[in-house]
Amino acid sequence: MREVWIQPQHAPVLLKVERLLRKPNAHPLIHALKGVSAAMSTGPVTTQTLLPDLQSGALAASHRYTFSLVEGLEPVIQAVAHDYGDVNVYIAVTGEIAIAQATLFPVARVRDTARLNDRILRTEKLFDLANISIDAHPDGSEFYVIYGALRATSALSDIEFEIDTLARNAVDAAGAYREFVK
Amino acid sequence: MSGVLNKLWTALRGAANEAGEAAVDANATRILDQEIRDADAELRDARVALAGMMGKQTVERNHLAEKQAKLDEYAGYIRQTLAKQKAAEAAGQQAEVAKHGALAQEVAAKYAEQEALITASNNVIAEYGKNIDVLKVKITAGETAIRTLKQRADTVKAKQHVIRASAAVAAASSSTDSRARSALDSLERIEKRQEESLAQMDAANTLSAESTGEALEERLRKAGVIPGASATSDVLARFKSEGAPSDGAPPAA
Repeated sequence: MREVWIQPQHAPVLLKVERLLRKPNAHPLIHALKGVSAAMSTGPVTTQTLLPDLQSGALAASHRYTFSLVEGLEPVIQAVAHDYGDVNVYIAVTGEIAIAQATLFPVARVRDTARLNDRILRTEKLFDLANISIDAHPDGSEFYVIYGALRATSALSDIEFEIDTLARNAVDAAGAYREFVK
Repeated sequence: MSGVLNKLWTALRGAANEAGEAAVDANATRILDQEIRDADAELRDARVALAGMMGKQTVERNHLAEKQAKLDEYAGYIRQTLAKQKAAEAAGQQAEVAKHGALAQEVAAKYAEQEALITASNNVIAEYGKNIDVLKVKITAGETAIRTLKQRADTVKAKQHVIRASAAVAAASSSTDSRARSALDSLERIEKRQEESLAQMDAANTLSAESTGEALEERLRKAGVIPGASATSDVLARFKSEGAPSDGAPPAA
């Protein structure tokens, strides 16, 4: 016995499949399912499956972006935005979520974090599709970062749009908050 | 759902210092993962309860069908007995009339008893139905909660992967390396590029002006070496030095 997770409206179909699979000879069904899985996408979206898509996508083709993989325990895609001073945008996929993120500046270089945070809370809405947060590197050093999250199953053009918007927003945000940085 | 955030804030307040606040991501991951496990377990329990409840309802429905069949059987007996009583009456057999009358009474009592059982059974089935509806709502809510929790956990984890990668890239490259560029670095680079290109444009203008000889002529003209607008005073001075007006022809040099 096994638990199966499906959409409620597909229950009647599952019932039929279940009945077929109870039979010792389920070859016709298995044969049919092979066709289905071939027609569907090749499994879930991961950082590794996203990289070749981006490298052969519109952003890379226009030579405005260069995409590469940062190897590690959890590989992450690095996008260098040539139109925006080569700002680095990092992209990671975990489960259902894809994140694109750029580092703004280190917290240590901010003169008055309270005033900056106040300014960010009042102006962040100007940066479409983006959020600003403070994240810590493993060594404990902290950075203001700007990021956008979207569903990992989003269309490639949507992911590219998010990356391009984020690169522009990152540079614009750095300019908007520069007066607080020493 | 708000329970997760409450736990997170409590963990943060407990830390009550900057080092603790820096640990927010680690805490978030731990609390979210625990919350997902708890919600998963709760959902599993609710599913088991639902299956049990639906099983019991089915069993009760079967009992109801049996009781209904029994009721129909009693109805048949009552009709038969009453028909026989009627026939005995017509035939004037008083003893038979009394016997069938008594039988009919007895079966009618059984029938009433069975009717009460059926009502009770229907109530039980309806009660199971209510419980089943409640459990189904609970399961749907649990599934939504787990989906939201998983999305939050995924977001936190993806951000951790990203920050770790950018830290690794920064550590592996020099401060001027384009591979570890923050937005502020990039902004400064863009501005430097713009300054450079402005300076380049100025230089290019100067060069092109010089290459067409304009710059030299302009300087000579200003110095009065080449006659031009700046030499007007010389012309007037020359005419004045003639002493008398002429016929308009230019003076001999």
